[in-house]
Amino acid sequence: MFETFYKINKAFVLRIAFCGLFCLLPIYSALALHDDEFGSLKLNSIGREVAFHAWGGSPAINDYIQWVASQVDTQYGITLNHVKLTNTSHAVSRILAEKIAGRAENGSVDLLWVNGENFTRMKETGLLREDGWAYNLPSFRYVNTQKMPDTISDFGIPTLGLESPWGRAQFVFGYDSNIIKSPPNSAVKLLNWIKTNSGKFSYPQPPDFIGTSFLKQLLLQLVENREVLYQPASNTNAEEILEPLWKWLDEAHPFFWRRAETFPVNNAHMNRLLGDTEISIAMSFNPAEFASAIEQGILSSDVKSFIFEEGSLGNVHFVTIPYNASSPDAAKLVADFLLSPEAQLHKANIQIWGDPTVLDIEMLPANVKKSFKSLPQHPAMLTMQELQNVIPEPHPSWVKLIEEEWQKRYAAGS
Amino acid sequence: MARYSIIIICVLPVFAGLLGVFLPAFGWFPIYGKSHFTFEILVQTFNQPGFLHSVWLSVSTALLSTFLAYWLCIFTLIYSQKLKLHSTLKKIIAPLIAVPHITVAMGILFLIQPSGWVFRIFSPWLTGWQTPPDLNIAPDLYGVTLIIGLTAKELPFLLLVGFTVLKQVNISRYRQQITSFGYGPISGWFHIIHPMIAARMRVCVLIVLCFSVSVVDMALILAPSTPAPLAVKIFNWYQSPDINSQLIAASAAVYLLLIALCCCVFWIACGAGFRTVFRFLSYRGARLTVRGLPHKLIILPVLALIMFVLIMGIMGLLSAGIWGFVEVWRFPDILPEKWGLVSWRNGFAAYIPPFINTLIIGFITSILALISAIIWLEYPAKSLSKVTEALVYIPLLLPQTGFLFGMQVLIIWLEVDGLYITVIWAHYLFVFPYTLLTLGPIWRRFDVRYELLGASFGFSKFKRLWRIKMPLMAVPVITSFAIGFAVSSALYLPTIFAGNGTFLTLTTEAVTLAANASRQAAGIAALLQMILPLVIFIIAGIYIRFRLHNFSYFRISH
Repeated sequence: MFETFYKINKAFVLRIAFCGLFCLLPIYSALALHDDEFGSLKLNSIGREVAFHAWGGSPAINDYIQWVASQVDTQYGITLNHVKLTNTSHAVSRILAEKIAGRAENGSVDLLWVNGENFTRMKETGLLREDGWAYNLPSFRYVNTQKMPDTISDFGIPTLGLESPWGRAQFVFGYDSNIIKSPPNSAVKLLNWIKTNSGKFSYPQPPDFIGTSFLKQLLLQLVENREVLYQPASNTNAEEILEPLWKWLDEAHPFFWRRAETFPVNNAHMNRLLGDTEISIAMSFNPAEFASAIEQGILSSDVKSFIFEEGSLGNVHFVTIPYNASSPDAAKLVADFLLSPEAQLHKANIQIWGDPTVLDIEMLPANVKKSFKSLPQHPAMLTMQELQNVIPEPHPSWVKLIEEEWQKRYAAGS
Repeated sequence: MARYSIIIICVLPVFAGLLGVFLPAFGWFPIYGKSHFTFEILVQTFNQPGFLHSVWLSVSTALLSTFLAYWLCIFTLIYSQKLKLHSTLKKIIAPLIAVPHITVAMGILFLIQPSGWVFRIFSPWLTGWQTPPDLNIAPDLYGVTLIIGLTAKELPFLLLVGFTVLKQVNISRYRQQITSFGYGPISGWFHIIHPMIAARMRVCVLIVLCFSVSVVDMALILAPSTPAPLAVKIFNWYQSPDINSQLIAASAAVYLLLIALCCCVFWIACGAGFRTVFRFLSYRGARLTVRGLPHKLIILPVLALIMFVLIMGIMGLLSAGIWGFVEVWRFPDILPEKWGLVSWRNGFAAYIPPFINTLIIGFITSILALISAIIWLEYPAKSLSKVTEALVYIPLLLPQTGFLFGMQVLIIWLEVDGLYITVIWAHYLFVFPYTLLTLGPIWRRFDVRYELLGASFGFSKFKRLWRIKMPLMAVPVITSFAIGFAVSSALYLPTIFAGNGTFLTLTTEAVTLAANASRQAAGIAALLQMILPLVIFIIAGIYIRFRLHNFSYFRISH
């Protein structure tokens, strides 16, 4: 309660400051003329609060968001509140409830961390702010949409400026280098390894995000012609295309941890099992995951990372502004700050979060470029060169198909 | 009048919640472009892979755990007086009642999973295991772990109810009668005392049964997942971004409601059958007393089972608590290799605002629930009373995700989202039924003669309530306050939904922490959830003891 009171007071103080600024407006606007639209955003945003709804399960990410909060406070006078979600769908259904109840403004979410299916659902239901704001952010000029088309296409769905890229995720495996000398870096090698090391492998149970991604990663390796996976599943002979995946799983499951009768709940659970040496390989969508888990003491320092040699599944995660956000202008400023070279550099640092940038490093000013290239390395983390081979996400329609079929085959009981 | 305002406060959101579940279940969800009523989704849900298996898991775990909890409770009641277990048991069950289900579940996991305490104690000297064994237990395929967890959590609750019920039924009065009729102590119990106790405990047992059918948090940790019980599947469907999954979740929730109803009918029917058999036996003059059978042969196994379940729960909590202060604890070490406070990386200070929020919300909610429960009980409405009382219990039965969605629309529409009062209101919906449940049976059986005596002194209704009834009812009132507080402090989704996600409580912190990879964080989470309800229970316990000294009336039956 005291905290809220303090915040209200703070907003009040800032508002007074804003009035002061208002008197100086003629001078200010003369100074900021060249950046006019953004200048007015900045003026509108002083003293505003931005409710940033973002998954809060990782202390490293939470700390990063706190750093962002302190930065936007000093730079723009914005109070950023991190609302920690356990599941993004909670925020999506909140916005949906607001839409049903007819609240077209003063919504409770200003900025939301989102991608993939949740984005598609919000886009289809008309829950997003539709003025193409994301393309107009000043920092967007460092995004190379030609070289990295996934910055404007979320799981193959065009973003149309409804969301702004924030970071990059890439599918990596972590392995216990005490037990595994040369990591099985292809689908075939992995199958052989599982067969000779019974009970030491598993994946989070789909529809867990990581579990489904592992199946997609496998499928991308096993399918004869990868191109078909980028079309809607209904346009293809899906049953036949998925066949090699089920064959692989049927062969491998009997040699799984708990004989594939039980699966880990999520990748946090997997890390715990890896730490207990119950399993020898874990997986993640964050290339820095294992390095930071070692730093946190969850994993031993023997854990290293690898990816499939043919390339690994990658996607971009975004921030979006709901149609009824209370402080959309301030939210835009925060989104712009998140995309700025400064914030992206801080985020890419393994000691902070280790989330790869969505900016084209080659397009950045020389000094920032240099800082990016001299970011600290961690032995448990792959280098930027090693991570270069990215396979984009298949069309989103495959996810549902894979999950339903998996459910039918492996989790329907007797 | 007061009763009707309680009904409006309670029933309005329940109604909104029900609409939020039933409309989509029958295909009505205009915002998704679905606006015609159809049974198609119900059929589609029924045809989901593994649907019947999930239903079977829900039903079997719920019925078995309730059966175990109930009969263990009854046997404890039979022997507790004879063996003077009463006060010892009360001390053991208090922490298990106070802490949330999910904490008990985490504790049991820490205890019996392959890398858990039990296996550590026997490894490697006995088992030869240097690494945790690859055994498919905790969770296991048949839901045994879940049954243990549910029993460990529900048995103490039923015991608490049972002890208070036992106080009203003056057993010593019947004891001589039982013996003079030639019944042995146990069969006499079943013939004469059990029917009286069963009738008084029925509502509580049914609530436990329904809760077990729809439990999610505990099942997420302890139940099998291939497939999972229906409630967990509903939870997953609701979390899925896919639009069709939302509709399937809603219709599965309707099925779940039906299943809970069927389980209740089954339980009541079995109870009626049981009563009929014993009545028949009484009429036939059967005594069922095995003369030569040493009593201990029955007492010991039952006692062992009770102790097993309770100790399982307590040890689980203990090991979860230990993990909060561990730096390194590898398999198969029995005790941590290195203790420390590193896991509290945010420092204790970070938990002060959530601590205060939990305290304020829990306190106000339980007080309000208590006051309204007393009003509810003091002014019983003749018409509609059964229906309205049933409505009050609905929040405990429906899957929270679906139910809360409808309620959230109401809250936003009323423009009260994100306020303290709204969070308290949302908590109240869940706390009030529990308060009513724990207070109701005792309140309704209050000896009217005391009140008549008061009336004969010319005391007003309020004065009779305040000066006579309340002091005599101090123990149950304080107990249901403590239970209400425990319920409030454990609520996660209602806090998130009503508070716009901006209200931090110890439970919201714990759930975020538990999502973290480390056991240390999970241990801290468990500790955070345990601490406040436990403190409240201890204070309540001390207060009750203090009060009892002033009332010889209670000392007799204690």
